[in-house]
Amino acid sequence: MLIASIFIPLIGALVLSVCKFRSRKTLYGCVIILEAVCAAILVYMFAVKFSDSVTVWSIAENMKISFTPDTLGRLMGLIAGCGWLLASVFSAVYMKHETKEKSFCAFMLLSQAFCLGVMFADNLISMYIMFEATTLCSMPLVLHNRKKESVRAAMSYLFYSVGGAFLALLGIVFIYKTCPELAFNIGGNITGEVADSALVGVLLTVIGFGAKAGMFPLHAWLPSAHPVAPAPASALLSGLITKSGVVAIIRVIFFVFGADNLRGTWGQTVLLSLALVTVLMGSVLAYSEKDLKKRLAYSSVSQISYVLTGLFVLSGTALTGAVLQIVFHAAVKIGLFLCAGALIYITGKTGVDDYIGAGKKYPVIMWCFTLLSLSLIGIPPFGGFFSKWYISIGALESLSGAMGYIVPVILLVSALFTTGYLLPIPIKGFFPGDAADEKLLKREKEPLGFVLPLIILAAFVLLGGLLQGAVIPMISGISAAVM
Amino acid sequence: MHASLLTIPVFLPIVMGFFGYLIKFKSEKLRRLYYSAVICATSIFVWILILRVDGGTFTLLRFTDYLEFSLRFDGAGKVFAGLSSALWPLTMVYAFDYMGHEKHKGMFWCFFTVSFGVTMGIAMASNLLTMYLFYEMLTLATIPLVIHGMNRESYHAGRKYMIYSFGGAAFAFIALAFLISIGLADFSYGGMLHNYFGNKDVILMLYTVAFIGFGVKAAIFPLHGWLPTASIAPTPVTALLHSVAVVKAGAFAVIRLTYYTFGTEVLRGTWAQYFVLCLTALTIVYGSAKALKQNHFKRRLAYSTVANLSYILFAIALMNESGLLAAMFHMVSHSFIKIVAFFAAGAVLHYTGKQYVRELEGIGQRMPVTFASFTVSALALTGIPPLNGFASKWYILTAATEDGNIWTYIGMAALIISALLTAIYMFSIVIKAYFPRKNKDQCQGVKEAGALMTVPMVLISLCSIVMGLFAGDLFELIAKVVLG
Repeated sequence: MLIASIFIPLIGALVLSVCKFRSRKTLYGCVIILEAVCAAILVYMFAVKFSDSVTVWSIAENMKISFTPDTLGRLMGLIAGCGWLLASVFSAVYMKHETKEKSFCAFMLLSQAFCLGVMFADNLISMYIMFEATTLCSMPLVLHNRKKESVRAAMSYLFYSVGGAFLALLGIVFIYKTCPELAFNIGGNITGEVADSALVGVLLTVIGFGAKAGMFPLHAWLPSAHPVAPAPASALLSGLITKSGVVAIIRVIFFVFGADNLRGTWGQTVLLSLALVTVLMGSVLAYSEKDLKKRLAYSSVSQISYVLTGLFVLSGTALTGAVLQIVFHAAVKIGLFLCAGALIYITGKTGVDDYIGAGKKYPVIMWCFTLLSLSLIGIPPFGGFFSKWYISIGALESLSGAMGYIVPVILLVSALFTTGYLLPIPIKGFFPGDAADEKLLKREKEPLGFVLPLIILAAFVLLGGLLQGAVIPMISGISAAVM
Repeated sequence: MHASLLTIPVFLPIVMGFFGYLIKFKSEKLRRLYYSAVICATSIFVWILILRVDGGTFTLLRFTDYLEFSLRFDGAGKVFAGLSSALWPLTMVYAFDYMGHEKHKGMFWCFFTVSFGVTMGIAMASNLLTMYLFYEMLTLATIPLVIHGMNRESYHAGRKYMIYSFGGAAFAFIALAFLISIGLADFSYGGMLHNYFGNKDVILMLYTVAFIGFGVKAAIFPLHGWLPTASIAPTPVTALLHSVAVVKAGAFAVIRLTYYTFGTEVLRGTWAQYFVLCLTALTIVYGSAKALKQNHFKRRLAYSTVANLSYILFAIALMNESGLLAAMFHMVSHSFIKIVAFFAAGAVLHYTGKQYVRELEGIGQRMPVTFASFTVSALALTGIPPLNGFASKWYILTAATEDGNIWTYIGMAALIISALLTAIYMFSIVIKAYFPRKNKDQCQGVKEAGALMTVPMVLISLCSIVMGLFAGDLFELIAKVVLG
């Protein structure tokens, strides 16, 4: 079952790259069927709490490639499966404007396989292997259109990620010195005194894996790499592949090092400060950005660091908030990038001020954009509100001193900026004013392939918020299993 | 098997190599047949000896009571000899194609074969004096290969190579002379200075001088200059000699010096150790940074070799058992990785005449097999798991944490910085090759290399993959062979 979920996209990609397809329809038919099967397996695994472990290969005694889906892994797998399915439906229409669709689909499937590998890995070495493979296979998505700036962006993506991974490797070696057990166990593997070198190791590892999650100081690649990719790929990169970095950080802190060993040390303060700097910086930069996809990318930088803030607080409540934020940010950011892609596809314009009056012509897209934005800002009753609520409460409860207040304040200020950079787009879209020349936008039908994933995602963030009575216990169950 | 048989793999290629130079072959085919017979026979013989020979010493010449010219095959030597003799025949196959249109074939094949024997001599030398003799011979035997082009540039490269190598050996000779004065013994793990109670600083000074001296062949900063210049030589030479045999002979000599002559007991924790650790860390970063700056394909790889050799030297300078094993492991894996990269560069040069990285846009689809191999090599060199380069990095890093102090941490940082630089200079080639920018494709009409080139490349890169997947077993095997 577990193997199938990883190998279906992997083998699918290989078969895809060998086969010749007569039309795009058959190509995307195959891709969507593959994704659907994979998503179905992941849903099933989530539903029945599937937890058998599999060892694929043993490189050396303490270097095994093995996978075990735990509660966190199953949740992440579920999100990833659904996200990739929606993105592939979307790309069936969107990619009409692009060339080399086969290689795009193949690399999309490959990065899914390895991204799932990161989520399901049950020791640091396998996770590291999968992490590197994800980077390598998602890099071609970024340079898909082969323009000068995309190749440049892809390279910086690759080098930041690989460099981050090396930093993480250095950290892992330091952790390994204190604790030769690299398998994931709840509560960590370190018993007894924690050496300073292990703490440094954790910092290095977190900062290294944080490169993928766009954490300061290794964030610079993200705003250049995500926007140049085709829209479905940017959606996946921002919504899900960045989350592989987040999962890696969760694994290192909670499953290898142990949250108790980090709590109250200077390491925690350093990490929290880095995350908060990123939150604020991302929002401010997004506010001052004029290109729609770039703005969304900066927004990702900021929003993913909400998750990291929640993690670094190291309390159950904040962790619940962080997991909620993972789920809702994934849905929202995939949705927003798909909206952006749909708008760019239909209008051919990329600036944030180019969509004046778009609300009347493309109502579904604009409505979805509005709903998703509201969730990202954190307005109740949308899902995004609850994640921020829990992170702030967790910080107030468990952080001592000034930090406890700084966290909620920064999150609030950043939410203000989020309002500032997201809402003007639908506002101008629905209320163009007299000055606007509405003829600039073509009147075109919104294709079903665009509308369907968007509606599903918007409905999800709304329902997720409304049904919080059911969602919150489930998520806090997961966070309880991690702590 | 008796130790006297050790003379065969050493002297068979030397004698037959020169003999082949004297014969007038009727056709190119006959010459190839002759040399491939010699090289393959030697290789097979080496492997038989690896499996069957016991630890006996065979003395060829006795100058005085102390000074003997003698051969012995121990664990470390077996690893080095096995490595070289596995790659020599494959390079020979590659050279059949590559050297097809070159002049002076007789000279090339003669010295190519002779240097095989000399390299075996270094691996099988039983004491420092014998190793030193073979070491000098290796320089002599490879100079004709470097100046093969016989133009101004290659003479310049040859002269530079000669001056650096002999100069380095002269440094090493100082230590040799001292060791002779206190009674030179055979190599033995742990060193031979147990009974020396003189001034310790003298020993450390001599060690440092000798390290740098032998380090010249392993291209240690600031004496690395000959290696990138020597990349003017034909590709089989740069691939085999300047990334496997000659430079690894330098690293191997440093292993002999550190673990088998001076002994780590004496050296560990002294300024001499810290000095060489710093020097290797510096070389690692310097080599990778220079590789990044190079636009010339082969020179970029040559600078990459400079950095990677210092990975080995760094591991050696850790002066613990895991350091030695990690050094051996990286010696093996780097050989398999870098030779493929050079083969690919050579195939491009031979079939398209392209020498510079910027000319390679879009070549990946035109030479699929060559560049698939090159990609494997790039991934492995960068240290992407589960390839062998990752395992060697892992072993070096864990060995470095063993007695962690500030100097080893500096080295580890250097290793990580260099890994990132490696990613940049290797992947930028791979990306250019496979993903040409719009309208920048420069490789229309380029054809795949011939089978004589692609088969060795594919075989060796498969070895890299297999070595990566069985890294644990390989490491244990090396540990068993080296430590007995």
